[in-house]
Amino acid sequence: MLSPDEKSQLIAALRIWAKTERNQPVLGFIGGGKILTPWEIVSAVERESEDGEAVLEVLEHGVRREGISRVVGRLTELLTWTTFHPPIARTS
Amino acid sequence: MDDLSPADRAHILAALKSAGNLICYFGHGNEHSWLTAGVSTAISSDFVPATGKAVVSIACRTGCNLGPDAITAGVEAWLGFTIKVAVIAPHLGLDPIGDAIVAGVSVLGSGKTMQDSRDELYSELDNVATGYDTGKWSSHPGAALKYYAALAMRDHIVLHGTTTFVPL
Repeated sequence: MLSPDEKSQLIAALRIWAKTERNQPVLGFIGGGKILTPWEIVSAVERESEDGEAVLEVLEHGVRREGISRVVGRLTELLTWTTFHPPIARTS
Repeated sequence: MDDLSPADRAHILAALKSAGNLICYFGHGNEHSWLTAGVSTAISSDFVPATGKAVVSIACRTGCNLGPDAITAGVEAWLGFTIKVAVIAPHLGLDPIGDAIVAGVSVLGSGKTMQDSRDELYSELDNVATGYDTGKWSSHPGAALKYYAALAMRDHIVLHGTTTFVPL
């Protein structure tokens, strides 16, 4: 089960992801009736519809495997940046 | 091979009683039943006539309870998923998740076991996840989400019953 904080991080990441994607069907689930576009996916997750819950279930599996930062990073395409350019610790 | 479409209750019951040793179901489902338009078309007790047969259930969550209960009812082996089954929009004519499912089931046609089919399905979905992660499909629309969908499906395959059963 995702924590409320993890869920809000994922929704925020999905909104960023949707902005970078073309407005065309991407992913659906058997029983959902249609393949959803990125913004329909965001809406489904926010409305907590059956498809939205299925998207979160898929992402939760990723969170448990890789950690929330990596999932958010992958969706927002920040993974490469943070992997190869870790934050520099400042001492002053 | 019989193609009994649509997957309504009459066709499903006919398939369960048929002479074949392998029943492949592609359709809606939940933890406890196969469904059409939200209405149950088969529950565990309907599987008694399928005693000694194998079932491949490409349907959401039917590996949770329906599969084990069908085994109790007499089915020899059940291959399915304990998560919702993702469907992706084909891009450039490619549907890697659909192709992975077909490849996994197809090995049964070569006289392989249900375990072989499960392992092939796992391997194919693993390749799909890698393909969307850093491989040849990483530039496809929605690749990040498709990666997580393939990963979740790969890790939620279940095989119940006699894993060494050879249905064909």
